[in-house]
Amino acid sequence: MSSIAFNIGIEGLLAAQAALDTVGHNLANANTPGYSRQSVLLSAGRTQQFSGRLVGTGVRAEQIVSVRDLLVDRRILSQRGLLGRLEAKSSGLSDIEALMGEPGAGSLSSTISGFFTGVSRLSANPGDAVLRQDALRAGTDMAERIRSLETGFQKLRKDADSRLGAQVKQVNTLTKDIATLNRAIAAAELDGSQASGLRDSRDETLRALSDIIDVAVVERQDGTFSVSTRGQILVSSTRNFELESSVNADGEAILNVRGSDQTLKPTGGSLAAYLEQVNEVLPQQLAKLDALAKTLIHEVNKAHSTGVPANGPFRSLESTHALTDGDGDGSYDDELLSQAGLPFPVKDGKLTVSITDKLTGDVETMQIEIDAEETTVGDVVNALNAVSQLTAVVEGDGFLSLRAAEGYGFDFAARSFPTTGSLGAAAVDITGGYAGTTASDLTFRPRGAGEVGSTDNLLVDVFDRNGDRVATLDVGAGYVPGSELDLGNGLKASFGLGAIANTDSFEVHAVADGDTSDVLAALGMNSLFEGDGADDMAVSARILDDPRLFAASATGADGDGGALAAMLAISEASLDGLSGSSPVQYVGAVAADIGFERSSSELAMETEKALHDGLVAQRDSNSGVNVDEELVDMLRFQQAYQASAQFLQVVNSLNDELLRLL
Amino acid sequence: MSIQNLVTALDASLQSEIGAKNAQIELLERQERAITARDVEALGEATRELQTHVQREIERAVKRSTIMADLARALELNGTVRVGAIADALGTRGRTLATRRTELRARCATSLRKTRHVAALVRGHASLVEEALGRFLAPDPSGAPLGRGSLVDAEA
Repeated sequence: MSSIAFNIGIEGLLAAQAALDTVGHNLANANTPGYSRQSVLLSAGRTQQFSGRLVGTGVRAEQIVSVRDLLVDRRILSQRGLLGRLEAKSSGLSDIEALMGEPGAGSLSSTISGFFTGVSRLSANPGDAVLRQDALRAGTDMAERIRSLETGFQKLRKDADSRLGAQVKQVNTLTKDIATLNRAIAAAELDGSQASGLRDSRDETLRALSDIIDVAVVERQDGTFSVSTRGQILVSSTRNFELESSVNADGEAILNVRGSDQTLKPTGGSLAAYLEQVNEVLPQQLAKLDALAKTLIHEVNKAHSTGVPANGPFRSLESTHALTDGDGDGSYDDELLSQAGLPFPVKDGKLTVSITDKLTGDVETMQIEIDAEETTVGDVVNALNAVSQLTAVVEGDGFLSLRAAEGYGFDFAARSFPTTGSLGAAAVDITGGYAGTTASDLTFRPRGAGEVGSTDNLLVDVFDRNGDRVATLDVGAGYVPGSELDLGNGLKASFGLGAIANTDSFEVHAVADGDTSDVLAALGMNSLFEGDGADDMAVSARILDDPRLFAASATGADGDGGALAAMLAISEASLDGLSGSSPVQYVGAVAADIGFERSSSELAMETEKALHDGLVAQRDSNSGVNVDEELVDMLRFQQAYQASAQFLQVVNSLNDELLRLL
Repeated sequence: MSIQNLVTALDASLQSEIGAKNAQIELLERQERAITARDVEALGEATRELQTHVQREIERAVKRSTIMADLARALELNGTVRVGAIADALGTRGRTLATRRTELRARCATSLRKTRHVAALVRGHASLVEEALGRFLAPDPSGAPLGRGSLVDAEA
C-alpha cells in the first residue's frame, strides 16, 4: 500500500510540475508571435488492485497539447495571402504614381502642355528665332520626359522581376524548413505526444509562406503537413519541391514547380502581385506610354512633314525610318508600302510635291496617288522621279533619299495648283492658301462669251468636285483685270484681258493637306520627331542643328504659321491612338487610373487587414496566451481548491467518526 | 420505544447512511473529474453539493446517536456504543444489523479512500496554483500595478 501511496505522490507531483511548467511556458511566450497556448491534460491514475481492493493511483499528466482552431488557422493563412498580394500591389502602384509625378512640375502632362504652349507662341510669330528655339527646347523636354518614364517603367519592371526571383528563393527556403520541421514533428510524435513547440515553428513558417504565395495545407496522420498551391505540391511530408521562375516565349515571367511543365499562377501572396506587375501592370503602362509617344510622333510629324522650313524648300531630304526588304530579294522597290516595315501606317491618299525654281520663284506642283494596299515603294520612287528636277532613290540601308537639281527646291506643302493658267484667251492667276478641310477640284466655267473687263454681265461660275457652285465671278464691264476675286476658303482668282466663251474651262486643285496618305510621316521625311516609340522619341537632330528647318509654314509664305496651327490643333484633338482623348487628357486618365487602382488597393488592404486582425484575435482568444485570463483562472482554481479541501476534510472526519461507531 | 422498534430505527438509519455514502462517493468522483478537466465551475458545484451532503450527514449522525444511546441503555451496554456491539448483544435478532454494518463499513472505506484521493488531487493542484501565483504575483519592484510588466520580470 505504501508503494501505491508513494506512487500517488509522485504522479501528483509530476502532474503538478507539468502543469506548472505549462503555465510558466504560456506566460513566458505571451508575446511570442504565433505561439499557441498549451494546456495539460490531467487524468486520474489507473486504478490498481491491492489486497483484493481497487486503489486509485493519483493523478497523471497525460499530454501537453497546443490549443488550436484549425479552421481559424487556415483562414488566417488565406487572409495573409490576400494581404501579401494587396501590400505588394499597393507598393508597386505607389512606385508608378511616384514615377509619373502627375500632376506637377516636370510631369509628362506639364511637358506636353509646355510643348504645345511653345508651338502656340511660335505660331504668333513664326519668324522669331528665340521662340523657335523655345518650342524646340519644349519638344526636347517632352521627348526626354517620355524616354525617362519609359526607362523608369523598365526599371520598375526589372525591380519587380528581381523581387519575384527573391520571393521564389524565399518560398524554397520556407518549404524546405517546413519539410525539415515535418520530419522532426513526425519523429517527436511517434509516442503519441504532441510536439507543440515544433508545431508552432511550423505554423509560423507556414504563415510566412502564405504571405508570399497562397497555400492549402493538409495534415497527415503522422502529424506532417502537405502544402500545395493551386493544386501543385510544394511540400509532401518530409520533402519539398522547389519553385522556379523563368521567361516564356512571350517574354512573360512564369512560375512552375521544378519537374512540372504546368505553369503555376498564384492568386494570393506577394508573388501573385509581383507576377501581375511584371506581366501586366508595368507592360500595360509601357504600352500606354508607347501609344502616347507613337501618337505624338505620328500626329506632329504629319503636320510637320508637309510644312515648309523657314529657309524655304528643301534641296535634299532623307527619311528617318528605313524600309525593309520583306521578301529578301535584295530590292525594296517591289515591297508594298503597307508591308515595307514602316512604323506608322500609310493610307489611301495623295502626296503633293512642289518644285520651286529658286531663281524665278516658279512653282510646279503635282500629286502622287497612293493606294495603301497596292502602291509599292518602287511606284512612289518612280512617281517622285517623274517630278522634274527631283531625284528619288532608296539607299542600300533602306532610307529614301530625295534631292532636287541645282537651283531648285522641293516641298510637300498643301499648295493648290495650278497657280497660273488660262480661261479661253484670258490668263488666270490663283493666289492665297486653301483653308478648306478637304481637298477640292474647282472648275471655272463662263456662263457666256465676251471680253474680260468690257462685256456686260460676263459671269464665271466656279464649281466644286461635286458639281455644286461655290462662287460666281463677275469679270465683265467694270472688272479691273488683275484684281483678285474671292473663291472662298482663302483662295482668290484674278483674270487678265482676253475673250472667254461658255465652252472654255479652267480647273484648280485645291489642296487641304499636302499628304493625305501620311506616307511622309511613315517614312520619316521632314519629321520633327525621330523615333517610333517611347524608348527612342527625340526631336530631330537635323532640326536641332539648324532650327530654321522647323517647318512652321504650310505654304512657304513669310509669316505663315499654318503648319504650327496644325500641330497646335493636336493638343485639343480627340486622337484615335489615344482612345479618343487629347494627349494631356490621356496622360491625366492614365495617372488617374493608377491613382484609383492604388487607393482601391489600399482600401481593400485596410478591409482585409481588419478581417485578418479579427481572425488573429479569434485565434489568440482560442490559442494565444492571455496573461490576465491565466491569472484569473489560477485565482478561481485556488478558491475552488480551498473550498473543496475544507469539505473534504470534514468528509474525512465524518467517515472516520462513522467507522469508529460501526 | 421497544428494543425491536429501536433496532428497526437503527437499521433504517444504517440503510439511509449506505445510500448517502453511495451519493457521497459519486460526488467525490464528480470532484475528481472536475479537477482533472480543470473545470472550475463543475468543481464548485460538486463542492456546494458536498456541503449540503455533509450538513445532512451531521443531522443523521445526531439522530443515529440518539437511537444507539437508547438501544445501549435497553441492552445495558456500557462504554462506547458501536453498532457491532449492539448487533452482538441482540444475537440472532441483530443479524440484519450486522449485515448493514458490514455493508456500511465497506461504503465508508470506499468514501474514505476516495476522499483522500480527491484531497490529494486538490492539494496537488492547489500547490501548483499557489506556486504559480507566488511566482507571478510577486511584488513588482517598480511598484506598478499588477500587470504584464511584473510578469515580464517574473519571466526573467
